[in-house]
Amino acid sequence: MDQHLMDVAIELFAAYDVPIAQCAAPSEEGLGRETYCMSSIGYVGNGVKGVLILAATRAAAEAWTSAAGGMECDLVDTVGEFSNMLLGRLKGRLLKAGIPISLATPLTVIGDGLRLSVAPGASSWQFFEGPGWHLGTRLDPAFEAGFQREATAAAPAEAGDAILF
Amino acid sequence: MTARVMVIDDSMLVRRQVSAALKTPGYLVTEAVDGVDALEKLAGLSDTKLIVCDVNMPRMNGIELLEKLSAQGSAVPVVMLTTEGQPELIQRARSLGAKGWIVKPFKPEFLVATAAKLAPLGA
Repeated sequence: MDQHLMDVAIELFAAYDVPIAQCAAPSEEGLGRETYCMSSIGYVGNGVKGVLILAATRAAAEAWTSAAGGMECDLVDTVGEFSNMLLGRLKGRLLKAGIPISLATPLTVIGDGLRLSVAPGASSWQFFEGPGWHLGTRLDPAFEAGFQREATAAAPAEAGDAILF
Repeated sequence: MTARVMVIDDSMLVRRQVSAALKTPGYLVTEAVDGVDALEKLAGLSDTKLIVCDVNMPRMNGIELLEKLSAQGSAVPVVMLTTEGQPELIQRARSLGAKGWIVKPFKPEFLVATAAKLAPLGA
């Protein structure tokens, strides 16, 4: 699932002409004291549940807001919406892989030096860098015993698709 | 002559993007933050010609709003604008009367073309 997450992160930001590249943790603490916004969205499927986290520096939130045509006051909303689009894309990928999930709505917090406490053994941060900024994201899926992929049904609509009935 | 579009999304950023796209050709835009807010505003805006609606929202999501509108016999066309692409959800929306489904991020020109088809300016 981490590979899917990395792929959709790169795809999402490319769609906004914001190129990102995977990178090592920017510091021993990850984004560390630079973390300014953190958005979380819960997801649940048949035998799997977890939370997607998207953490951003202030410079990252400003860059995304600008790319999306927003204003300074929209920073928190932008990080929440990008986490929503990230998980939305991931949902399509997982559906193709036989892991259908349903999504909650984003919860976003803002502050200086935000930190996340996670249980040992959960998934790891995936870090990316853009021009002068960093982001981190993680999925933390928890699979129940006996979890099995489902048979894949019809292909989901992809980002940018538009269907008129 | 203009036409009113209601944009329903819990993200201020998306509401602004959609509003900007639709105001350019001349649409009047009213924003709502979720299905509950939308129903309250629609009750006082009988001139609404098109609804652009997110799916995942707090309080009342887009599918639940479609159910309410269908039960009310609303004739206002609804286009869903969402990160969701699950075929079952799309079929559910279609069965409830939705006229279209767009997966974010959207192309403004397609949104405007869709609006022009479902709620033409000057009609």
